[in-house]
Amino acid sequence: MRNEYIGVSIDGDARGAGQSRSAGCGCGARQPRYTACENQRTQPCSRCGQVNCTCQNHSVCDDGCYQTKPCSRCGNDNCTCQNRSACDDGCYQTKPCSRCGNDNCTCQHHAGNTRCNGHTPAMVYAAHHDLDSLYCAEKALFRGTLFGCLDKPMCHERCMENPCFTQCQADKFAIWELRLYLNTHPCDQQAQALMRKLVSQMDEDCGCAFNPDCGNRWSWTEGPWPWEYQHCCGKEA
Amino acid sequence: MFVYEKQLQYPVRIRKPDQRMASVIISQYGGPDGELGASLRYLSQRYSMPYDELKGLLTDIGTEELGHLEMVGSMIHQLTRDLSDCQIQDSAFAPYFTDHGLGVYPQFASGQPYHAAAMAVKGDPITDLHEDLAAEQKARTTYENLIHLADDPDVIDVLRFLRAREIVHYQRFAEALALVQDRLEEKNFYAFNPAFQCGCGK
Repeated sequence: MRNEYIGVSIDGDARGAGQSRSAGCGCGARQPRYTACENQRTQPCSRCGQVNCTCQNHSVCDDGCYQTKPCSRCGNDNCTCQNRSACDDGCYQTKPCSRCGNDNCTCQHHAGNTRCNGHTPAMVYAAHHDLDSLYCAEKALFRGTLFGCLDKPMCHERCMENPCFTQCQADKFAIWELRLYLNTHPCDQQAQALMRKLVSQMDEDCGCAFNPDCGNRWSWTEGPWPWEYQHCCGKEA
Repeated sequence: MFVYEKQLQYPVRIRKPDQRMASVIISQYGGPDGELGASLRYLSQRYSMPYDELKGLLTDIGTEELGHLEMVGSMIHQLTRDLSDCQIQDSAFAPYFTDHGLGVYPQFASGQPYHAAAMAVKGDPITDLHEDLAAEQKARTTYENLIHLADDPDVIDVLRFLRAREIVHYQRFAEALALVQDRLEEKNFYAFNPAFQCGCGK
């Protein structure tokens, strides 16, 4: 039942329940937009080498396809648990559901719901993520996110090869991004520990840079102001 | 209250002015799906949110969108600096220049001034979060449209970063919706509006 829910079966047949084979080929082969890559499911992913890799996200595959590694929380192979605040009580996907008896059931409190997949009609549901595919601060600022699983570039995305920012800027971005994550995952201990680490790193890298009281003159109004064009790269400052 | 940090979230260094791009990128400054609308929407919605995590998230994302507003304004400023007269007359930028010179004015790409009808605050957390999910997708699409129109890597680099942020915000709003779902009766999420302290049955 677990595999039917996900829509991908172990033996290589990707035409599981509800699994779309259209847009968004993530296998790395250069396909025109909106054309399904026929190789996506049956050939090994060029990034992680897994057959049936369903990862649509390039960066997650740098660390291995997260759907085929055993879940670090419940040990299940195809676990889809994405960390909810419910995980404070232990990953509910490892305990048999008290209603349907299934091991990987995601429902927690659905009385009389025979589908028992945790979702009810007339509502949409989020896919959660965890801290498994984190970028370093510099890469995070460049890509626009700390989380590899949220890095979803456009096809043939052209971008600067040598972005120009300081370690201080990168640290601040990583902290900001983690702050947003903690707003919706307030009990995530791993994230809180990472935040403490990033903050002390930032204190080291930023130093006195934005304290207007340094020096003999009130410097707050001194240029350059952030919107002004500067010839020099920030790193040289 | 608000504290200003004298630095852009992501650097904007546009070496080559281009008023053609400025006249379309203005849409992300004061357009229907731009950063001004986004920040006002989130900062306004937070007052009627019943749960602390949502108040925090809307405050933080609303604040970040103000930072993005600053980045888009910086792009307009740098794209329109150092213009010579003959460049202005040749471009679609002339009407904007007539009314605003080299200033940065919040308007749609069509020239319509920004107005709050482009956003919604319904005072119901489920409804407002759906508005926010849609807003982030609209912003993402607008950035993609701008990326297609641009050919300068300095410009594309910033647009690409801003687009990536929209995707992350979308995910956070989806998680916020999950937090609301966790606190309501799943048999009927719509039995009452949790923003009302005196909702029926409570």
